[in-house]
Amino acid sequence: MLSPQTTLIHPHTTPYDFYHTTCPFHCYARDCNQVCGVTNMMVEFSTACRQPVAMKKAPVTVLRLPRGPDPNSRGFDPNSPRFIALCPTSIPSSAGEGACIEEEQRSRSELRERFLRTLIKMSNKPVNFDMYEGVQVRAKFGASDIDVLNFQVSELQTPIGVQKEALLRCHDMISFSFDV
Amino acid sequence: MAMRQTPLTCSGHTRPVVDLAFSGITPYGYFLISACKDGKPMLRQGDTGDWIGTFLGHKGAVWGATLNKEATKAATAAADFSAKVWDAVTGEEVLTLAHKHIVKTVDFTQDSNSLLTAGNDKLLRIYDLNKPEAEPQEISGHTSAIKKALWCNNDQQILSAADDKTIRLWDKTSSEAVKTLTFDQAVSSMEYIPDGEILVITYGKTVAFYNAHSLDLIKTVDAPTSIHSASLHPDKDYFVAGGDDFKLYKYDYTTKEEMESYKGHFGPVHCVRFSPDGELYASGSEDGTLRLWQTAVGKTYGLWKCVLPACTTEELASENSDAIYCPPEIKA
Repeated sequence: MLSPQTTLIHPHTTPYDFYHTTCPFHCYARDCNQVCGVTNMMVEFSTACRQPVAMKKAPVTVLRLPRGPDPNSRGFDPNSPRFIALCPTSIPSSAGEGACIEEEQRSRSELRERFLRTLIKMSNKPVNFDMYEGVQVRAKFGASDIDVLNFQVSELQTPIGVQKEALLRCHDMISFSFDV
Repeated sequence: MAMRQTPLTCSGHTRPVVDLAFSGITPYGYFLISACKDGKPMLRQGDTGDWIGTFLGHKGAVWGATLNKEATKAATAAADFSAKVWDAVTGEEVLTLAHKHIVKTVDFTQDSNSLLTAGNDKLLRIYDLNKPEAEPQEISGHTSAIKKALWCNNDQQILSAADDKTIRLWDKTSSEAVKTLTFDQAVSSMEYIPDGEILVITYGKTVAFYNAHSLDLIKTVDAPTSIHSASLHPDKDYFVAGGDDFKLYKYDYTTKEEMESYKGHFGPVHCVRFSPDGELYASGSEDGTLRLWQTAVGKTYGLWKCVLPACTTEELASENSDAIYCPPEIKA
């Protein structure tokens, strides 16, 4: 415990609150030199009891922490200046002319919409999947993830039994079919 | 003496970070790619560490990652027996190059037209990225898994380091080994500095510097711990190294003196690289994080802002309240 002589001048209420707001590993290690994002102070720890004993000014202020990954997307923001400059149209149009690009974009939008509607229609229906290495399985389709990398299925029928819940890798699929 | 520095910690990976590479300086700044055992290499803004995107598609640990000079293409080497080429602007997978074993290392030529790959199948492969379906040029000779392979000498030669404790210099046209360096222990990392033709090699507790043409030894420096990776500053005044004891060491290249050491990582440091402008260096660790460290501590650069020593606590608090990012509360 903190001795009465050491005053923790940090505005956060308890040492553990401090750890939670600055150290992504909730670390109690004595050499953690994480900086508090609010006050830009660093904590010094007692080597005996591993409690914070003093606050020190960090030699350099950190304006903010680096931004972490977005849990909902894979990033590569299409509105970033670099994306807009280097990929004015991300459509590799074979013709390369204005009108052709528009028509190609319209076709792509239509195909994409049809694909998404197919996925919706497939929900909770038995679907046959043709995969690489001659694998053919049948399962009840649940949902796709946002990047269409995995399909969530139930009652997957495999040669070694029925798997109640499973994820199928879309990269491994050649085609799939179902009765409408 | 361990000094204090405020590194910028980049979280996001869930497994150890085993490789990292910077791009060149582009009109949009410079970029950093990290290879991780979680199979999801990430692209970050080089000077701030801000996440830009994750390359999704590999089905195994990613052992090597690189960017081309313009940061328009990325390449990754993975345990799923494939190397992949990606569009580094959109994040889309452009090519998958199937191999017969774990791929450990990838490197672009200066013009980004060829890709060098190597791994546990002991072969060096050169792919023409304009004709990816064509069979790659294969160079054999190593007797164990290849850990690192790099283009050098104007992309006319290749340097490779393998678990057979040798580093070999190959001529690209003849596929022949021009020179071989043999060591007592396995080489843990290799870096090639084109400007000055210097090769930085680490093995055991040693950081060694060689001439990349002749493979003559320039100098060696011994560190207090087993070193996994080292990097030489573009101006060749310092080099940094990291290894088993979790610390980052900074040495004077000329005098070989240890200048500073920094604690911060919670696991062994696997890779360390200077940025192309030399203002910072990035380290990747077993703890799953990347940390960006300032070369000149106390300088205003990127997300670091110099703090005058005369500042009082109140002044510090009010000065910072304008330009601060309050990290979200993370409950245990």
